[in-house]
Amino acid sequence: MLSQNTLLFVSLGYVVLLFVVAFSADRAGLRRGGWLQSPLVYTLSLSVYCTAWTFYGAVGLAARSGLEFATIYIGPTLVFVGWWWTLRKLVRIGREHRITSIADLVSSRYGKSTALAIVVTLIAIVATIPYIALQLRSIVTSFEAISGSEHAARTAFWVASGLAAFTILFGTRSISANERHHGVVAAIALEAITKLVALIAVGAFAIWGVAGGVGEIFARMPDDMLAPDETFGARWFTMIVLAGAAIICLPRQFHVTVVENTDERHLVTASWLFPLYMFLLSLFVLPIAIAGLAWLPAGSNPDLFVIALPLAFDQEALALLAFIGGFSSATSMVIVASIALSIMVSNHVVAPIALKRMMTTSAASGDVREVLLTSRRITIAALLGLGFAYLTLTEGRSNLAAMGLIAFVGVAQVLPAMAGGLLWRGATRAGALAGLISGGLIWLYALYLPALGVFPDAWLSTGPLDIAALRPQALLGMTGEDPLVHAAIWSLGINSALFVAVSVMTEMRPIERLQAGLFVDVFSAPGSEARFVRRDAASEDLFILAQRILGAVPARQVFDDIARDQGIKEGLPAPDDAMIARLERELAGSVGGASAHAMVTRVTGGEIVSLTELMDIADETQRLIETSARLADKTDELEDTADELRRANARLRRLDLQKDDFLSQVSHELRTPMTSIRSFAEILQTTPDLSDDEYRRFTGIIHSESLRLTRLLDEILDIGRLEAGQLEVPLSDVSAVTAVTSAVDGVAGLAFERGVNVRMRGGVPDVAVSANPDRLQQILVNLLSNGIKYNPSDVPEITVSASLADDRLRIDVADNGGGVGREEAEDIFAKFTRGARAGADAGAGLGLPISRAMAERMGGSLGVVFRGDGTSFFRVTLALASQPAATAPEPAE
Amino acid sequence: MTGTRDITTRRARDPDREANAPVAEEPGGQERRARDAAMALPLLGILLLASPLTGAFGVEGTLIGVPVVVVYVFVTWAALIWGAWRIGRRLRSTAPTRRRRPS
Repeated sequence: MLSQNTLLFVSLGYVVLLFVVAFSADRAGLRRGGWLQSPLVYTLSLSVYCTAWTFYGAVGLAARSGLEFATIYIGPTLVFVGWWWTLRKLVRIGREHRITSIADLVSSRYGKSTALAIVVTLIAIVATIPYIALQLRSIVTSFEAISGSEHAARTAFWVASGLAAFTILFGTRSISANERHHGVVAAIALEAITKLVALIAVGAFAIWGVAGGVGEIFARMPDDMLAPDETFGARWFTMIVLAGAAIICLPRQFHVTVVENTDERHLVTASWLFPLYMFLLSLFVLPIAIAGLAWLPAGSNPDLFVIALPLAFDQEALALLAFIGGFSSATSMVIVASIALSIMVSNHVVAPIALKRMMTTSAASGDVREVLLTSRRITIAALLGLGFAYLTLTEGRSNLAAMGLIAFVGVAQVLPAMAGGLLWRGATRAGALAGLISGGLIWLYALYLPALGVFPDAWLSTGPLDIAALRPQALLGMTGEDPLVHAAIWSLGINSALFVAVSVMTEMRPIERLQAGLFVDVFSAPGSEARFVRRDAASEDLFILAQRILGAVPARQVFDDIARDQGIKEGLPAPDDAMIARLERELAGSVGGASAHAMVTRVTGGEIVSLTELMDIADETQRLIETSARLADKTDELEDTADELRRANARLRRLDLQKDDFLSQVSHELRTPMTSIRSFAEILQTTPDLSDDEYRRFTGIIHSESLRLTRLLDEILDIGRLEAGQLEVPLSDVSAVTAVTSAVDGVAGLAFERGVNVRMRGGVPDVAVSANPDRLQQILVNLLSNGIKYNPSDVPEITVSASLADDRLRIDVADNGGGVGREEAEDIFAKFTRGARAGADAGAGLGLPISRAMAERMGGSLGVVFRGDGTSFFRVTLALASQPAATAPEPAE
Repeated sequence: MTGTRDITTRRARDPDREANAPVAEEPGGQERRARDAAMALPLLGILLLASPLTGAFGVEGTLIGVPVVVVYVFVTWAALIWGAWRIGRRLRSTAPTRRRRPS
């Protein structure tokens, strides 16, 4: 046995060493960088996961349940090996949004909700206090075991006080949680090495000092220790899941992994180095347990094998090393856990209250900061006090050791809300609250309170009020499961189910939607909310706020930084949206997202979240789908346009060809009369003795040919003027009957000559139309003579009919030759075009275009109408005169 | 005419570029493979250590004096760590760059 004084002296010496290391590291940290910011120190600080529960408890667990202890380290190994999935995103979000704790993360994700932050903080405190008690107890029992002393309570008290002093001194130096606690981190790293070395030393002693080799130690293993066929049961999987959740969700773990992280690349190293640390620690657990079972007297406490084994073989120095190792494990957990919890309490519980008070009292620089720092110090002292009280109250109960796993189930309740929030945009604040509260209550009822022993035994066996379905360890009659597995399934199951169901049923507020986008797409979304939130405030008010929270000097520094980035040399920066967002982020790093948001919003007096900008960070997938749909539309549109262009081009080509044709035709047309005029003029010139008859005949031909020429030129002039809109077409009321009759009469001679029968079908309505009588005559004669001249039928016939429709008069001119084909129906109205039926004696191709232009000029139309069988006829439509005109006789040509 | 010539010269340059591509893209491809591996490794770990498959190794017997089930768990564990170390070395060069926190 070592003397109590030696032990006290060594413990004290170790604590002094910790203080010195922490103090010098804090000094070194001020100079920035160096070994303190290396990935190795980061990884070692993660080892705060391995508490006294690991150091003593893992061996105990191995002695009782074989390999099961490994699950506590395999779960975190899987999480760290899979850092690319979760930790990378967590650390990035933590840095982008200045996250100060796990409660802050959950609250910020769900629209900076204070309620959520408080719920998470409460769960964390409830889970952590017994855990702290467990650490204190492990120090006390190991102290007792090694010294044989009985003054347990006194030792525990001094240990707790010492830890509180250390934590307050080095853990609450600055208000910004993002500023690294260099001293603490350095001390934790030192402790990490100490406990690893101590456990490996004891393990090596067990294997080679006691048993004499690896094979030998396993040869002494009790037959029923491993029970391989039972190892991989429900408990194995549950514990891996719980440990995996704990490595992210334990407040102290979140603090060292995310909040204290200074460089994302450290994660790459930690992804293998931290699993390696746990691997090395676990490697010697089984041998120590086997050696303890085989060589120590029966009935020894397996939780103390680590110390008892060297003591039994009179290795006092090794026992002392083991004691220091266990002491390290316990103190590092207590220090980090109380820092993490104190930040949560001050930022999420005290800050909202301070915020209310702040509005009513007069401003003093740094007053909020002082309140928060004081609250953190009080919280640390209170946590250790509660842990100590818990220890004394539960003295003598053996179930304290199970508190580690019970705490795991408790903090795992945060997992659905956190993981869901990082991966799923649809997760809402209400869903997270519902999941957390329900899961937390089930955890308390099914696991935490029964373990405390507060329920009467009758409740456990027959249920409260004899309702069997409410038995805490057999909810709804689910028996046969280990209480831990039972509680984990129920609490996490209901938690996740409610989280998803309520999220689906509730709507998000704009600020929630914004935060969801920024968190879920942290790698692609723009990092700042400045683009989305519109706020107004005076720089002076913001400066006063910053001073109260950060203190005068840090606030000045922040504002100078912002002003410099804005390009302002002197004075306060301009309070634009970006500046306000940046300031809020700075404050969030000190008081948490929810409180910072509430404070800044008080100063700005409200905010507007721009929904259109929010759409910009809409779901990536959704954006892709929309883009491709829009692209497809564009493509369709382009194809349509291209088709249209192709059609227009073909039409243009056809028209161009027709024009060429016509030009040669028209030259020919003009040439024929010119040639005859010239030749007859030559005859008149060169032949002196012409008879009078011949002379008259020749000049007559010259005259008629000149008329033909004039007519042709007139037509060309007409259409030119029509197109330019220069042709005057005075309108008057014209009797329909007169117009049609005189037109038919006008072509009677031609019809007789060609043997074509022109007949009227039905009567012509006795109405007056608004038209120019001469031009209407011209149109109708043109249509009729076309029908007469170009009718391919053997028994040619033309039918003229007239009818009223829609207050307009229709005059249809049809021949029995089939009419024009569909493909040329539009072309024939183009200038210089002749239809397919036109023969050699065809005109210049100006009749129809002139007629159509005339009809349109008179407010009517001229077109081709197709019958069902593909034949067609011409139809002239004319507007009716405002009042029926008298059938005044019109001059018919 | 110039337009046509432009197109032909551009086309003519293309095969050239393709020929160089594998060499130029090698680091990117390596990084992508490392990322894929980083995502696959934990899935493999779950399959080996926390799935019904694990049960297949819960057998009696020893290997060089050590129970098979212990050897299985620790060897798999070590292999996962080795895999993470290999992937980490590949990713380090392309990992997110150090961002200084505004002071």
